[in-house]
Amino acid sequence: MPATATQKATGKVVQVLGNVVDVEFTAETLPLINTALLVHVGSGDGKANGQASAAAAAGIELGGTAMQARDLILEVQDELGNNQVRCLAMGSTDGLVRGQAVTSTGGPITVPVGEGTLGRIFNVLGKAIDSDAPVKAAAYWPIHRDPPNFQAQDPTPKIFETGIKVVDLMAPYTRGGKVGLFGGAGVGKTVLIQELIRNIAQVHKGFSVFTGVGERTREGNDLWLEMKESGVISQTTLVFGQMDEPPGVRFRVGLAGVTMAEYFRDEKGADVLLFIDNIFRFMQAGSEVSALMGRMPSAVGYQPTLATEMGRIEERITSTHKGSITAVQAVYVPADDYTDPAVATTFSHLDATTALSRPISELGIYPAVDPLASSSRILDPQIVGDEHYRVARGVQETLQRYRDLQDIIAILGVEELSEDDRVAVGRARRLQRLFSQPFYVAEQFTGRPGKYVKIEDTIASFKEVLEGKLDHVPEQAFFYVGGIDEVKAAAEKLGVKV
Amino acid sequence: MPTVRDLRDRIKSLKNTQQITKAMKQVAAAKIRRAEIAQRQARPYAETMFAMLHDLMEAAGSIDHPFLRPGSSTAPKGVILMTADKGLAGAFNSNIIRHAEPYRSGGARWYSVGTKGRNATRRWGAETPFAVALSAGPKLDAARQVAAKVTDDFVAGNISEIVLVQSKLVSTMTQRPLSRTLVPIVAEERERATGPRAVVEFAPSPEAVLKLLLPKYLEFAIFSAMLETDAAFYAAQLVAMTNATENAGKLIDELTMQMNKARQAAITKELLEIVSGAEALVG
Repeated sequence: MPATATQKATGKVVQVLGNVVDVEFTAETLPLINTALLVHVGSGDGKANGQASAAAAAGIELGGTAMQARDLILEVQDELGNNQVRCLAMGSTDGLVRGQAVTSTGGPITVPVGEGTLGRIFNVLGKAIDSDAPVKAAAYWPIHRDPPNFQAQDPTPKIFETGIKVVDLMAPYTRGGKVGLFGGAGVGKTVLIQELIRNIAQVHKGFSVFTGVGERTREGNDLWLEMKESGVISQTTLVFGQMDEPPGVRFRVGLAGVTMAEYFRDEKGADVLLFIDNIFRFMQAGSEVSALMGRMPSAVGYQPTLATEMGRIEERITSTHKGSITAVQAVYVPADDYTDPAVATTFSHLDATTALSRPISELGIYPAVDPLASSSRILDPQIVGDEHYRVARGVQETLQRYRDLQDIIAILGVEELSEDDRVAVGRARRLQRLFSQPFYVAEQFTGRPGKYVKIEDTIASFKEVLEGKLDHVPEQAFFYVGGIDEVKAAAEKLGVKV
Repeated sequence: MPTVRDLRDRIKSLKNTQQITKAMKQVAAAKIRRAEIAQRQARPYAETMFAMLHDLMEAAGSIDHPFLRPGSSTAPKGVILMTADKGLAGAFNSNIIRHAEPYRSGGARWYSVGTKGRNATRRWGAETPFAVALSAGPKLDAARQVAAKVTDDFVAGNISEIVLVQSKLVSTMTQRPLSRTLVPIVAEERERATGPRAVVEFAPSPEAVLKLLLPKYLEFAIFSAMLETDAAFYAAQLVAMTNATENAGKLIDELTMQMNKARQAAITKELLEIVSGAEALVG
């Protein structure tokens, strides 16, 4: 049935189950899946047999003022048969009553795209939520789109400098690639993503799109204020569907962000940065939705369609011949369990993974990136160069040696180790500390000015430590510094000649 | 998150380690007793000999013996580095070695008693013209060999003095590295014995007896240092192994807790899946 046929179709609500709403149409007007339906909530529709009107008819004053009239968008998810469709609400269903009239918009949810969106904040429906100023959109694009096909994709890997030592050295990001920041609660995913935004957006000077999915509203506000201060905001579009929103919103807001980024890639040929914080919340919302829709849960209670849903969004974030999208996604790891199906599914889509680990954050080393658990597809001598590769592998070896020896050290003490091992342990501890880095976005907490370290400086610094040139420098000189010159300066302050 | 099996494997290996450390602790406890007895038994002889040496030197007045003359000033120091042969005694060996390290800058000539000391000097790139193990074979033989070697080198002018670095057994809990110069015997060391002494007549002459006794003095100084280092080693090992056994126990407890949690989590997860699966089929 063509979309035009459903243009002005109207139906009525037959069931409201939390965020899931069933709507009845006629056989001719039945809307397609993913069609957005509009319903006016709290309108006091005379035909509706709602609680409010019933109470009014009985002359009962329900406490407080009447619910404010508002529009609610429903998205069709399932065709149930008997001319009924099951829909997901993109907003609160409070006040929605059976029998209420529903109008089909005739197409999926659309969001504004183009330069007019830069500097603005949107919700999942493409409505500006920062101010009432009109959005000068180049076009309105549907949020459901197909990923670029095989021929359109452009797979030339190139390193993408972030200015963060541990990331650039151990798990370098790919220009036009997808990156995941994995971490449990409170290990610093959001801080790291904010630092990346600051570093990359400022150095990169291209368009960026930030999508907040199911995270704290406060963080969105912080980010907005900070971007205004640094001036990055004029190049950035923000889309939010945070924790307070119903699952339908959190389930779709990621797509809205991706759509906005796609416009810059496909129509402007730009290299776009896309930040998603937090892609796990997308899966989580999907699981909530799935349960509400009455689908049978699969492993660990996740939706059976987990991999499909993930594939639908991730495959759209890719680089084409026209332009590229470099995506950085935070991934919350529930209970620090990396085997969680949502986390494991995400892993397979990524070019580079940055794993944040609790034991490292407990050592007071921030960013708490685990250099052994993080990896990158492009850590390959043919892409990053021989020296980078050798230094990174050397660091890995040393750290792995240290990890292997940790039990022995815990039981017998460091004195029991052979001289070689003791040197390796000393070096590993210095390397670990050198991975810490003061952040610009954390300046107000740490009181240390942020540091951006160029990739060549990072490699040179770690090479020197690996070669044992700094074995005599006390460990604390390696804490929260930039390059190796600052280590030496700190050592001199401690009274050690370098 | 480590699985139950990973944790069980680690606990198993830790338990093995703990068993070894526990056994070594008991062995050290037995050996320290024997080493202390040996040391105690050697003490009367040592005391008598040093007292006699003192008397002799007083009686003899000025005599000419290489041990009483300052050595060749251009030659390096000769350092007898006395350590244990084995590790697993905490910082015992490294403390002694670290204590000896300042002699490196003077370009010392090393004589090592104990395998760990020899390894250390080898690592420094210094040659070890002479090395014996601390506890292989009778100690007195080893002490004689070392004494003979250093005496030869000292007399030949290859070394300027003979320094002994050993471990002092302060108590079972404390062992301290100690270095002292054995040869040339300096004046203040002659002042040691006090109190009333018998007047002894030496035949054929004090000088002749002294010449015989001085090499014996060196031998015996080394021998008693060996006994003391040996005893100190077992004391250090006893402490280190007691700590290690405790640490391993703590780690095992921690990991067992983690393992139980992981196991319980797995059980809960499976139960949830079964129950919700069954529910879904019913509904």
